[in-house]
Amino acid sequence: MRSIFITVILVIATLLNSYSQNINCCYDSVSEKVYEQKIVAKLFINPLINNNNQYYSNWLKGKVYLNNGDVISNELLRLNRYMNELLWLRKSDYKTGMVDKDMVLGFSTENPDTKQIKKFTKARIKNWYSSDSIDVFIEILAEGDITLGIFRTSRLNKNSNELTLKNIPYIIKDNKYYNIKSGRRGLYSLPFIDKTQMKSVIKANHLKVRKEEGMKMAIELYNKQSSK
Amino acid sequence: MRNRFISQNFKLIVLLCSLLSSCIIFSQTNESFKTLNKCLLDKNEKVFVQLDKECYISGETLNFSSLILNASKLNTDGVSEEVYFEMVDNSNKPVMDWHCNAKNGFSAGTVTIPDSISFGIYTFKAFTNWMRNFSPDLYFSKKVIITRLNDKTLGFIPYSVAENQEQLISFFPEGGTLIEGIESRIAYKVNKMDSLLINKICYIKDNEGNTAFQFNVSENGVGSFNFTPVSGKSYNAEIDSAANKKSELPKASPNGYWLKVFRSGNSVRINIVNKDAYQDNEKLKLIGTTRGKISYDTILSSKAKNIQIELPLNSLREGITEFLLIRGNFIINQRLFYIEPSGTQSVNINLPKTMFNSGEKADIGIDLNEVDESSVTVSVSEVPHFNGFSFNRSLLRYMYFDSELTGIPNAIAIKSNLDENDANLVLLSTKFGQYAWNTYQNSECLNLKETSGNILKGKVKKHSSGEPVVGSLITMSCIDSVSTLKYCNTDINGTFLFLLDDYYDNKDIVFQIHGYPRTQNDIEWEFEDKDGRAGSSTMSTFAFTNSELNYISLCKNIGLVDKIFKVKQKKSANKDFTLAGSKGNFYGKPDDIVHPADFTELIDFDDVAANIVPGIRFRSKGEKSSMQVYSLLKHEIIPEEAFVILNGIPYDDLGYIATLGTKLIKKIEVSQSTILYGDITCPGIVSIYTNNFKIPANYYNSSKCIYKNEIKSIPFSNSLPNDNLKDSPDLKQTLYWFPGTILNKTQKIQFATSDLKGKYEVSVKGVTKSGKLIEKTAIIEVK
Repeated sequence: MRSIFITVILVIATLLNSYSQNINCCYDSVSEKVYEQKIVAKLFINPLINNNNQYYSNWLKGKVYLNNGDVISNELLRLNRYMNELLWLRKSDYKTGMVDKDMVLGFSTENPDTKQIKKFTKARIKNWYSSDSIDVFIEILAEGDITLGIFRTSRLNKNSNELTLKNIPYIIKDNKYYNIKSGRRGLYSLPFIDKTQMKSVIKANHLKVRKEEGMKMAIELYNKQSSK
Repeated sequence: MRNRFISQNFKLIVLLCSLLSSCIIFSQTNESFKTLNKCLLDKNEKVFVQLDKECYISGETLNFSSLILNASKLNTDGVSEEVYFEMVDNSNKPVMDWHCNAKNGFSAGTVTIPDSISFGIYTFKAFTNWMRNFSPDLYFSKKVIITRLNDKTLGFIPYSVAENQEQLISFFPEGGTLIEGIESRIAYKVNKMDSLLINKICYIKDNEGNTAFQFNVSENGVGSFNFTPVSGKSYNAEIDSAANKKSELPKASPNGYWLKVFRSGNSVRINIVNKDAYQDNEKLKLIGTTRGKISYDTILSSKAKNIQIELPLNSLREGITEFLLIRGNFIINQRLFYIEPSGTQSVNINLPKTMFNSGEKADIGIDLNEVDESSVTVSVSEVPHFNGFSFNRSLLRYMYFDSELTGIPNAIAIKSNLDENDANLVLLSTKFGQYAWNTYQNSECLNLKETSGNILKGKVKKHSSGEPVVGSLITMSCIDSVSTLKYCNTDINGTFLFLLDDYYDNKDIVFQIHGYPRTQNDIEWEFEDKDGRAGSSTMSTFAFTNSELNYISLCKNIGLVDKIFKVKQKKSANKDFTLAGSKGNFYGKPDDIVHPADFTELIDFDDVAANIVPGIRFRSKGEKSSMQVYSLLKHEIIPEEAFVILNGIPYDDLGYIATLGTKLIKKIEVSQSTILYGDITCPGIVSIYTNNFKIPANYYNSSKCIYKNEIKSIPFSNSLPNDNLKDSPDLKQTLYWFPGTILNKTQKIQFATSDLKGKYEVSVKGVTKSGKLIEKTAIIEVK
């Protein structure tokens, strides 16, 4: 009986404690409301229903960087690699929108499990299949004097209705985008990359440059050496 | 089996649940505490304002410049970008108010004083929205005189003052406590100083009528003396010529703590005496804080009788340091100590000479010793004539000293006899007098810091019942050639908030509440008036001296001469309303743009939509009209009604739209997709711009409201009137006024002296980009 009584007292004490908590000062939430920018997007009409390969990742929380310098945080985003559009999931009604590319400089997403942040920047590139330049989102893997970006795209095989995923590497230097082939030759082909230095970086670290991870490491180490 | 398990371990389960709840609650508490602390940690701001004159004529222009600084760091980091001004009369009623944008804490502008303002002493106030979270005593405040040409100048005028002290003299023992048998420095202040009291003897008498001490009242009624109270006696003071007005000295305690702080060369010495005070293990702490930042912190032995501490002077921050002796949770002693600022940006004013003839051109050089982009106000204006208004003229003095003591009736500063510049005896009465920083503890931070524009707060309620309109969508837009829509939902109090950046300066802003029929007339709108919370005060009379009265008459005569010769004054260059539209549409690029003028004449919108705007379907049947958009992505008409905009304003009167033909329409933009704008869904957008850029007057009912957003600031420039008519006397009282940015180390200013003879003060005040304060003055004379 006594033990039950003690237990009840404990529970009541906890409940009272919780009741008395007064989360005052809505300052931050009000401040956020006033200053927050709004995303502008067109309602997304899914061109490939039931084909999840068109998306680069699942919905992840991220930031959208606007042209005017503002940043919209804590929004659910993902890249549609087939359309190369940034998709936004509106929290209030779960409608999906295609973010207006003209208003955006780039975006980033964070994986809550791995804490990995992926950064995408909008770039104007000339696609091989078109004479016009287009704005695309490129994922930045390594940043520095020389930046490595990957253009995540896909092509649809109309017969089989299957998507072929393509990851096209770009080297970015002085705001210019250079499409290269994966591998050493792609890296060596650029005039501003010191072939000897890059060779030694790859050799010393046994890097497999055909793969993204290897290329990323090569560029990072190259940048580090160059900055010394 | 499960029941058995639960019953056996019931207590353990409950205990675990309790602990888990406590953990969650504790983390919530931490979060809310961190949020609350952020408000207080951001601290307050200080505003300093410079005016071009002390005495104005109604109808005249007033030039001002202001500087907003972080109250703790005294730089422009993270300060507000909107500053509010107010002029109140002697009954604290506002007679003028306006607000300005401030860039990097600096703003300047010109306002015209209304002709209706009559002769009197007015209080000019300046504050930011963030400062409204704290006491209004901390707002910048300055007295100005405004007179009208046809007003009689009175010698005595009503004047609001802080509450009168009950006693003729107030006494302030150093550290706040008097201990029997211990010599203490006591500051005094004669509350109603009169010239008759100067040099009179003040007698300190004990309760038996014996004179224990005497001193001569100083010229300004402020001073100090050393005194040792005797055990068992109480004391009062009486001045020779006012013997019937006795003033009590604070009662001396038989035991307690005594605190003394004084400067000794390059050190600060602190003496603490414990006379039979507490002999327990309660912690004794000495903390020194300067503008909210701890500069000294130590734990002392509570049993020690005599503690002596020596600190290097440079270990304390410049300005006022508040030393607090704390025992447990109680403040026992308090002492303010002032260090004159020295590390400011030095600036030199190079005068070719100090005497000038009237009408002579003057070339004055200003040298910044360190090259740093600076926001400054350079002025050449008459020297101050009103002795009673001399405070809040010096930037450094205000920021480091006066503003720290603002609003505290019991605070006085006593200069050390040894050093004219050393105002290190700044004392407060005991009981933790309201030193500015102590008032922050209870601040709730309900007013946001305006770092990107003016935050407009409004409220919507039902006119009939007074009930707030909760959870409704409010949109904000301007008549413009682009559509810049913002929206907000009302909260449980019917309140909404919008950020007005500089795009909205001097524009008529249209607010609309959605979800109500157009005929709804029961909505009432209220907009927050950011006033200076004038509050009440007691009244006294201010007596002008003869020279001050003569000066006011001179100002009136100058005003009269100016009026006769019709000197044109440049009006403040407020930003004119522009239809150019500096922003893009909120919905981005439209899919189709049609200019009806390019086509044959069509009478109404039915025809226009059917013939030249293929992306929309407009149907008008009697009083009912509908507008829909054809979706490019879905290749079908979007079933919901399109979002219609007229001249930048969301417009739901399709009956009027139906009347518009090609002659009236300048442009039609169509977005042929469902647009998601934040939480708003626009099932297609049709944006119509008419040639006259007007909204029909009958569109505005109670569910719509127009708010005039007036901003007074002008781009930095020399805004003095320069165009005198030929052969008219030049009686300018301000010869040069430049609020702006100095980029170079050396700057030359050129101006012509006026026909008004007398002394003028050349003043440079401001702040560098790196946050150093600049101040320098020099005197020239025009003969």
